[in-house]
Amino acid sequence: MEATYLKAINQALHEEMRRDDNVFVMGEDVGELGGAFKVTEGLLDAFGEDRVIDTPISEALIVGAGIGAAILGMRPVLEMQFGDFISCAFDQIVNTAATLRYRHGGKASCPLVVRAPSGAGVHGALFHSQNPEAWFTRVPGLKVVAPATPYDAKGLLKSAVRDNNPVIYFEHKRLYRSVKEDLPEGDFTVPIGPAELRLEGRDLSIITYGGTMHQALDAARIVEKEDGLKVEVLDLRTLLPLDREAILATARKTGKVLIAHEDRLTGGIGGEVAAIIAEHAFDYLDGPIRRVAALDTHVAFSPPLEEYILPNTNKIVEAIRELAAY
Amino acid sequence: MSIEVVMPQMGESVVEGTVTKWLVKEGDRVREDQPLCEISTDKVDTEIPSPGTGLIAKLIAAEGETLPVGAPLAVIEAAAAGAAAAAPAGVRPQPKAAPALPPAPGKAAGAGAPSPARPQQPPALRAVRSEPRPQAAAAHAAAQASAAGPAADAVAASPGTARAGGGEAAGGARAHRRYSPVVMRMAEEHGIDLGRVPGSGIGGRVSKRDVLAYLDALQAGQVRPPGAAGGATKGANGQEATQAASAAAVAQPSQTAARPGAPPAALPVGLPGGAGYRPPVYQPREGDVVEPFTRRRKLIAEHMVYSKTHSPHVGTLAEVDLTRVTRLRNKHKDAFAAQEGFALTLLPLAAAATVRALKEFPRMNASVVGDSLIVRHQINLGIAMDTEEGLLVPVIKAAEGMSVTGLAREIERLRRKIADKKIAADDLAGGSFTLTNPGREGNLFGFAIINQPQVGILRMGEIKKRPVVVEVDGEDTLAIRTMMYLALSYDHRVIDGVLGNSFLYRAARILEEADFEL
Repeated sequence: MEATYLKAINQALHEEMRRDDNVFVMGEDVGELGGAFKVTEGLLDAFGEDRVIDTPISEALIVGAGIGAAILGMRPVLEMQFGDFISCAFDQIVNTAATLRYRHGGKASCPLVVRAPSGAGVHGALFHSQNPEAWFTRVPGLKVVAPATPYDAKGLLKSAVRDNNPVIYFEHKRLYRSVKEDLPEGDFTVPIGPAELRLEGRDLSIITYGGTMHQALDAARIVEKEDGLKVEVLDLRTLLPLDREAILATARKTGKVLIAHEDRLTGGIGGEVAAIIAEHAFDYLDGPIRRVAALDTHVAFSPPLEEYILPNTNKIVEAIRELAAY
Repeated sequence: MSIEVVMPQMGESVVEGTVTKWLVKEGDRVREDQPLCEISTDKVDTEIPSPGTGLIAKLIAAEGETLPVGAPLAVIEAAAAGAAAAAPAGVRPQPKAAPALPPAPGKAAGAGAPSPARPQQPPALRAVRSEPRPQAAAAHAAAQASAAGPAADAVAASPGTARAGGGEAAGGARAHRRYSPVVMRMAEEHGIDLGRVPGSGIGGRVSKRDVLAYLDALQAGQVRPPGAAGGATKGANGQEATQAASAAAVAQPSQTAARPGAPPAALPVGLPGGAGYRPPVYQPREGDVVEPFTRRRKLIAEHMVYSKTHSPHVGTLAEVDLTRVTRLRNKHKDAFAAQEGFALTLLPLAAAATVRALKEFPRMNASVVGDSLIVRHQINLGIAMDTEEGLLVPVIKAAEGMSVTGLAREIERLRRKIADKKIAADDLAGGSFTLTNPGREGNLFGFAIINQPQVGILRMGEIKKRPVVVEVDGEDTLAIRTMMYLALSYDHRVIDGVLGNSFLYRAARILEEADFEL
């Protein structure tokens, strides 16, 4: 059955809550309103207000309460209305949730999911366009995922719910209604960890994730048609832990790597990916590892400026051509 | 703001230069136009003036390093700025590993971010750089174009038309010849000499794909691996170079690359099959002075060895009675000196005779490029001149249209430029034939080495009064005449005896007849 990215997430929530009574949803406007983006629509009617809880506007409270519930055996799915405000819950996530297992000698676990609608390109300006994933991709004890397709959105959310560790789930707002896919009937999951090769190529590899994955695919199709270049596209899907084998395999195969993400250049996960390649696949490199990312500034409200700041298909095409010619 | 100092374009045919000496060091404060370093090209030595005032942030090029035109040499942090210190918001850093990538202009973010745009051409260098900073494609094309003449590059102290084979490489940049890790690894695995692999990347860079293509060609038998020629010099077989579009091997394999189908101007330096002789090991003795070759000396040496190795020289000698032309000179010399401000010598008269003879025998006004003789329409007469640092051969362009006075003026102009150390690369390029006059103490006669890729060179001998037998009214009698031996060296690859002899005979007669306008 065909489903949008948003619908896929909604289905995953329904199915997981049906499957396991310990799963519950908590966040701002997730109940009555069905979520600011309607991701949690229908949950309140289906599962009642004990399992679909509207909270005050406090991300720290949402995650803090979630941690407590998780310790006691529940499996909370916590929504940050906008990923931009996940920083309000930063301390709860990195100091409490991420360390819990370690602090208790492995005897305690914190099986919670923090859903963070993130990403730009929706004219959301500074507080509604952020890609905060890199703040979490260096925190031991967390898992970080960023699906790009409806199938992955559904499968990864189910895996996240069933995982016994805190998982930060970044869902890209621009993809909510812009990508559709036929989803198989019945239960399926996408494992946390493995990356997915979306396109096989020969000349160059793009390593990407989230919203940028679709731009990378478009760019690969353009250069194949116009330049005869065969570009490989690797969708990371999980940002922590990174699929080092898949990263190194594609780097070794093509020898030229372009990393594309919507997060800012400096400190983005692309730097880590580049470092892994430089360290472990140096002998296979045929050019500099290049990155296309958002400029190191805040996403502007003005549409032309937003366009200028963010990566897009054309910028990726340009970078592919430069790197291929190198 | 930081200013990049680049290897300037020093002449149309100059594609690279060597940083011979830095005159400043990192951290030094420099003023605009202050000399930063000494550059040596295959044509001229010069100093590079600072394009701005500021602090030397970084010396990129090392002394002794040879870099293509446009390659960065140093970075100057301009006095006022400090903007470049912290990467401003929204600036995509230039990948350091990819100097050949053109800078992305105007990437500064809008929101009041300081613009880091580095000037592509420092103002002080604009005057001397006739070409824009090589963009990817141009650099690529130029690198390919220039590739046909690597040996010529290496040997050309005064190379004339050395680069004709690959077209003019104006403004081009040869690749740095830095290889990517994968290319290095594959070369090692397969035992490839990377100097033989044509590069298709930016600036002629050898990419992984190029290595794969080369390996395919190797397997298909289109290229022969080095050493397969049975101990002969690398690439001595011209066929290889043409067939494989691979680089012809020269003394400096790191400079090779060839355009498919281009005639291989570059043939190997080194004696074919000459593996036997080695000079004895040097034993120092007291009082010995060791003079390392200067760059120019090295280039001259390579050029001479190349010429002698590749071009079978034939020497032919003519006796010339200069009595009449000396009379002509003496008749006009005072008026000439008064009018022109310099003395009329025999050299321009000999040059005029040479040009006239070349017009009669155009095949002597030619170049050897690969397996072709290229007959030149324009006569660009090189005049060998001695300088402090060694031999230089400035060129009189389009000499076919010049009178004796015109030739004399041109010789004087070039002589002065050399004396003033202002000779430019273009003054030394493009010769099609050479005349050399060793002067008063030049001895009876001698055979000069051909200035490659030309096909002949005339050398004037000692001018001396001698008793000679002349016929007066049907009677033989002894007379005192002003005599000179004129020696021609020609390249027997392309010039046979009949042509060589006829040319010299005519040149001698024209000079004897002294039928010149003055």
